[in-house]
Formats: sequence, C-alpha cells, structure tokens
Amino acid sequence: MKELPIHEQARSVPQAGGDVTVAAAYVPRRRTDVVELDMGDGFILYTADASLVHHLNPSAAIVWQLCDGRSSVSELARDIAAEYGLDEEEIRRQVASLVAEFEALDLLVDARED
Amino acid sequence: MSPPLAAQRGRWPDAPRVVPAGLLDGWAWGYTSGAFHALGHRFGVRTTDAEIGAYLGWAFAPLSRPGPASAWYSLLDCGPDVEPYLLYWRDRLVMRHESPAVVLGHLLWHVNRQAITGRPDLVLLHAAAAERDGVGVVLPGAMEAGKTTLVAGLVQTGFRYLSDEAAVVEPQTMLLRAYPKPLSIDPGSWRLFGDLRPQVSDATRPYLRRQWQVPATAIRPDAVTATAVPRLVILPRYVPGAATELEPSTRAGLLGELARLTFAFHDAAERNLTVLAALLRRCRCFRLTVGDLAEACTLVQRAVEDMSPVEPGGLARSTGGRQ
Repeated sequence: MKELPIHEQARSVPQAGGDVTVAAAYVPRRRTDVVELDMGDGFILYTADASLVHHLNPSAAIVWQLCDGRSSVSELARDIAAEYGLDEEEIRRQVASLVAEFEALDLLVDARED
Repeated sequence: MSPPLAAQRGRWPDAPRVVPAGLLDGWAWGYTSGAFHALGHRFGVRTTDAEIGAYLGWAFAPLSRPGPASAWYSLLDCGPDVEPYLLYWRDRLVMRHESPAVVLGHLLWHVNRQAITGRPDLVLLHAAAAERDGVGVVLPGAMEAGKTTLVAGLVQTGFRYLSDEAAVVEPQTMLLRAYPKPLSIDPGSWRLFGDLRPQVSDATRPYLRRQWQVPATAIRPDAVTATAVPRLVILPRYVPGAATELEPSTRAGLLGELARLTFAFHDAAERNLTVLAALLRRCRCFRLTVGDLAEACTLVQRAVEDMSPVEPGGLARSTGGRQ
C-alpha cells in the first residue's frame, strides 16, 4: 500500500537569515485546486499534485479562509487584530509568516501577479 | 489433457509457470471447494491434500456463494521434491516453496490482494471492523497494530464481524460492507484464543505454522454481519505491558492517518479523502492503547454503549465527551 507522504501541521519552514515571511503588501489568494475540508474540529487541506494532507490549527484555519485574493497581509492583520482585540504589529508578523508557509507549501499565490 | 505421469506420482520438479489449459482440471484432487466471493474476487480452492483443502473450505465458509467456482487456486503437494508445494492461480504458478506455510500464506495474501484491488468503486481502509447494537466500529491500523486480535476479542464478547483486514466503505451510502475473510491469527496471539486452535492432524499442521486462519463463525455461528452503520473510529495500538486506555481524538487529527491507511489512496485521492472526511464526521473518534485484550474490549463496549440513538438523517447526537 502506497503511503501518503506527509501529514503535517502548518508550521514555520526555517530558512537562512531568519523566519520565512512575505511582504506586508502581499495579497494571498488560495489556489483553486486545493481541496478544503472543514472537519468541525479542525481544518484539512489537500493538494493532489503534491499528495500532501495539511492539518491546520484553528488560527491557521482562520487566516487560510481569509486568503481570498482581495486583501493584503497588512489589511488582513489589521482586520484580525481589530476583531480579536490583539496587537496589530504582532498579528501582522504572524500572518506574514503563516502566509509564507502556505506559499512555500504551494497552497496559495500572490494575487498581485495574476 | 491429463497431468504428467511423474506429477501424478507426486513429483513435478519441472512444473511450468503456465500450465496448458485444462491440465489442472484433470488432476486427482483430494478436495475441491465450491465458489467463494471476496468482494469482487471469485474463486475456488482445490488441493491434493484433502485435509488442508477441507480446512480452507471451513476457513473461507463465510465467503461461500451458491454454485460452482470458475477460477481456481490449485494447491499441490508434489513431495518429495526440493520445493514440493505449488500454488497456481488459474493456469499460472504464483508460488513454489519448501514450506507449506509459506505457500498457504501466499494463497491468503493473493486472495486479499485480488479482493482489495478489484473494487475501485469502494473505499477500503486497512482496518478491522465490527458491529454491536447498531454501532459500526472501524479499527484502522497498520500491520502489528493488533487489529485481528482486538476484533477477535470483540467477537468473543458478542460483537458481530465485518473484517480483520479491510473496512469497506460504500461511498454512495456510507455503509460499512463486510469482507468476512478468515481471521488471520498470529502466533503471538495464539495463547489468547486456545479454543480456536485448528483441529488438524500432525501431517497438516505445518501448513498453519505461521498463522491460524479462523472463520468468525467458529467463534459464534451468527458472528458475521453484512453491513453496519459506522459510528466509531478507534485506532488501536498494541503496546505490551502498557496501561489500556481509550482517548478521544479529533476527526481532523485522524484524517491524515486514515488517508495513509487507505488502500490505493492515490488512485482516487480526492474521492477517497472526501469519503474519509464524511466517515469521520459521522463518527466519534478515539485512539486505543491496548495492553490487555479484555480491558480493551471492555473500553470499546463502553464506547458503543455511550453512543446515542441515531437521529433521522444518520447523524449521531452527541451526549457528551466532546472531542
């Protein structure tokens, strides 16, 4: 039986020079070929071409669902911080890092390049 | 066409990989079965050794169907050759070995493989499955997880049997379908099931040196059920000496594992993932550490008893123990 290669949480992929991140102006848009499954107690993403299953924690799931190609990282961070009463600068850093992980896993693209 | 004279006398050192059509049909078989259906795989078994043939007929009995077989596993003992045990599937030699246990094991493996690969319309999990009081229990696990031992123990306590190898999910209905193959009990578990020890002569016992093949009906005549509504997914893991524990798990946390345990997952990945997700949404999910079989069976029984009646639409109403 062929084994599914990876089942992993969305997590930081360390690179030389520090944590991976994207620019605040980056406009994340989910790839349309990513299968999304809301399990009720967790969110799952599956990419057929990479044969990967990703299990998102609740915070990552929120960010993922907001990546509709219409808002930049800074705009998403502003809205999330306002909604949850959190520090905007810290949320911007976290959102940028998470979006970078999603991009590294080929789950989304920068809508500015469309 | 008749078999070679030397083969009829019990020696066939040059048994061909592919026999001429009809050659094996003319053999003087000690045992010839009726038809068996393993999911979509239809076969019969014929053996030169009458006793092992009868044993296989007994082991495969829950798979039996009316009418004659049209395709055969032919198990020959051509001793005293160096590798006297031969297994043909139809007209092709699939195994030749000095050990009858190896050849018999290959027959069982071949049946499983043909059954599992022959139904791309179904989603097949590497799992045992059982049912009690309307609650279908799926027990996914890799080799050595303890699936067969656990499901055999459950059947002994009153559960009904669907499979010890493949939990069959029908995508259109989301029902579990039975694949009631013989329970393949490893030597490590023989001490737990002494009353299931095969009743064969010393001459036949070498065939069963690696595993016992036991039909669930040997545990209880009405042990096999055809379908079940899946309500519990419990991942067992046998850990010798460990405390036996049943721990709730999230559905999302199990989906990746179930994907890995799905036969031919990549052949229809999106369909399979969707079905697995739908299965998990219908079920309460647990991980079971098995240190003691009796305790594990008790915990599974309690999990079944904790299930509320199924509401219209097939969705279970949670009574507590949120995951």
